[in-house]
Amino acid sequence: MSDFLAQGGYGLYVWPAYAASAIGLAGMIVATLAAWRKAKRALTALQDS
Amino acid sequence: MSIFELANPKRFMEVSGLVLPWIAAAAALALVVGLILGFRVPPDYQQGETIRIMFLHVPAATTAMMAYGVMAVASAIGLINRHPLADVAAKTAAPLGAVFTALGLITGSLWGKPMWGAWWVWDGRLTSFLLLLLLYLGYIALGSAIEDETRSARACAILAIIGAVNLPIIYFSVTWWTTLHQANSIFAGKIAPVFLWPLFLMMGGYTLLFFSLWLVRIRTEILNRRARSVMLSRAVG
Repeated sequence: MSDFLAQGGYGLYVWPAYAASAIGLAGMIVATLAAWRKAKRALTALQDS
Repeated sequence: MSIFELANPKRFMEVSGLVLPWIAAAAALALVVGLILGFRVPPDYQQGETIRIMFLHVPAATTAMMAYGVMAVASAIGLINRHPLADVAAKTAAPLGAVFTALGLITGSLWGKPMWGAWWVWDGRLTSFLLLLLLYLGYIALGSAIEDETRSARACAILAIIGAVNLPIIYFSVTWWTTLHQANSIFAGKIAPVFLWPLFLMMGGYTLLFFSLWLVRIRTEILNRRARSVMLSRAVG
């Protein structure tokens, strides 16, 4: 396990790269879906009123 | 069915709603399998375990460039055919492209430090790729600075099309100026096959993720514009 975390001594570079990519991709997904839900809610509210 | 039939927002909503779950599922599958395979490959004989950064860096960079390409094409269609859906497609691609570009720069920096001894060098590839980020940010800033929807789309389209000149510069930069960034190697047969599987899966996953998010963003903007026109017609009526 510690071997896996060490990544041959390059863990300090490999893991931040994976963390940054995960944050970037997840951030895009969350923001995109939130905007979609908001737009859908707003339009439904408008059509119901 | 021609692509211009899809330009009808109602038709676009129907078709995109049908294909979206499949593209998103394929993206998730490619990313999960690519991620697992990426950690099972042996370390590279020269670059050691940092080769695993390649599985993030190359897909982010190629997706960032592809996103700019589709943004420029959509901009050109919007400019020539004056179709609002093309404007929407261009506008919604920009923030996604900017994030992929930033990820390409960050992962590249984290790969450069252990392999080159520097987080950053002003080499042709890195500099032109930084310009790609600035083009995306400039595009977004320009779009939000002009209030009128049509004028904003037109100005942005011109910027996007001019900026597309940077795409071949990025691609050929490593051939024109041989500095630190390595040359194009994926399709030159210079990568061991064991690394190609996770790399292609991640590239496919990133590309499909971009298209999934892009479709959702276009659909969102269509709903927003629909809501605005409902409000407008009520205000008038």
